[in-house]
Amino acid sequence: MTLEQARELLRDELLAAAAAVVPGQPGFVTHDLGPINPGVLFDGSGPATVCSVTVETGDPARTDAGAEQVAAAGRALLDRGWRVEPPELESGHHRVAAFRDGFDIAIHAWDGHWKVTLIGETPEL
Amino acid sequence: MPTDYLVQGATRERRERLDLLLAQSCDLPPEAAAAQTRLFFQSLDPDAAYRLADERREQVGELDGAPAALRYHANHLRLLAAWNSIGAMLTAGHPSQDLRTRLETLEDLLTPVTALAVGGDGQPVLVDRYRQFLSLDLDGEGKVAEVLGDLATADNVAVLLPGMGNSLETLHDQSARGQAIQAEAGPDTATVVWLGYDSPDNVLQAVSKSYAYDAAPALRRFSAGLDTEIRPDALKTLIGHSYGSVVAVNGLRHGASFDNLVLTGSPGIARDLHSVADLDLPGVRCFVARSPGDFIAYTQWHGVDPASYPDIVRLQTAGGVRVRFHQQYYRPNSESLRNIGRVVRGEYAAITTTDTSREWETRLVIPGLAWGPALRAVTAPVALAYDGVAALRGVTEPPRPRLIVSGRGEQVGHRPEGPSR
Repeated sequence: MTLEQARELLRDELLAAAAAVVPGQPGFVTHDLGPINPGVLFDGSGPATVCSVTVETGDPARTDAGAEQVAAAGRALLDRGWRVEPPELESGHHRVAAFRDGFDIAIHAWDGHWKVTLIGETPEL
Repeated sequence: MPTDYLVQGATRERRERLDLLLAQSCDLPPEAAAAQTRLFFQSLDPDAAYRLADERREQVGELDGAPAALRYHANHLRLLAAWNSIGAMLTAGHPSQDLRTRLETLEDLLTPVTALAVGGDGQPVLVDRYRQFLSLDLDGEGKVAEVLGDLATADNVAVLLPGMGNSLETLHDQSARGQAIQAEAGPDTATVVWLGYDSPDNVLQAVSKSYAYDAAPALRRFSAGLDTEIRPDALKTLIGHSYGSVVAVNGLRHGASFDNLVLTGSPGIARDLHSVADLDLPGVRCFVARSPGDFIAYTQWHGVDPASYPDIVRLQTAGGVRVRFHQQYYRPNSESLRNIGRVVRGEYAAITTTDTSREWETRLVIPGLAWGPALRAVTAPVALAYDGVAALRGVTEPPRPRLIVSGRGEQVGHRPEGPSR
């Protein structure tokens, strides 16, 4: 798999998971910078070997649905063959972590806020 | 026309007042200069302030204490001007790979980013906006500070300092790591990627602390300006990775004001620092992360590894996602990134900690071989010899300023106590 193929795959998976959060509403890609150097904070001159993509969605009328929304996104990923950790809640922060073939996805929602954020990273290629 | 005369007079007065402000600020401590600058801009009506940002974009874009919106505006105009200028040079037949690279960088910085907002029909809608540059220096390798989120309304503000090999050309990648922190810390957070210093180009340069010493005053000025923009009760966290950790501590020791300090993968700060108490940073909560196999932290090139300080909170990095070596602290879902988010949000009770030794960590990475102490044994005499040579060449820590305690330090006492090991 090339890095570009991994990036496309990650986008597709994030959008598929986001589509489960609010029925009938697609997710929105808000960050997709292309290949990045994962070690940039150590050495900016290193190679770009991963891609990071962020997708957001949510229902502006609902700021109390974080638990069910991240769980729905997690179930969508489970159905697509991801290993999905049980939903977690920490001080109003709802989270689901998902993993597949070196890909990582973190799904976040927050009490009092309507947005659900799905951020993923490809394996190093 | 009388109206034209009045407009010209007002413009001239505005410019003269700005010149006077700039001249007076040179003699003031950064905090007082930033406060005076903020008062100056508050005295202008919004249209006049934007006109000044248009007319004097070079000064306003860099002016700590000027409102962020004006600095974003001025720096966007500066980027556009530079893009036009370099484009014209290339068109005129000045082929240069450096120019072409810079042009690509400028195009990247000028590309709007998208955000999810609520449309007029109450439904989510994507909106474009220009990137937010709080400072910008296009000379040479360049310096920059990019803001993710809304500084003025944020409960929490994180400032991320990258290490060596960084420049304007690598901001693209730095911003991705800033975005990882932003997503982890949540919607009430604003994150600043601060490359306001000349980063060492490579390992050979990074063995010198001179870059961190030079950066300290700039970080203090930036911090002072930031304080005029953010809410007084916003929690302010400084995060330094690798050489950025050396910059972070030197900045704090020279007056930059933060509530929290997070160091990841630190090669040490200074040989005479053995504890948080030695750092002498009243009111600053200090946290450190060292992952198994972090060969840079094991070298302790610049001094004792902060992860060895007896009174520091050592963040756990082990969890569902494996974090190894020197550059995986910011992986999504990793315990290290989760803990950084907890610090930024001030959720100290939720932080997970560790006290693993170098021996244990290196055996984990290569079973049966404790190579961390051996690495230190090799680098220690070389580092000491280097420091001796550097001292002879006059590379020593500059004197610390007397003004250390700030308004932010007073606020820290009102927050919950942090965890202890």
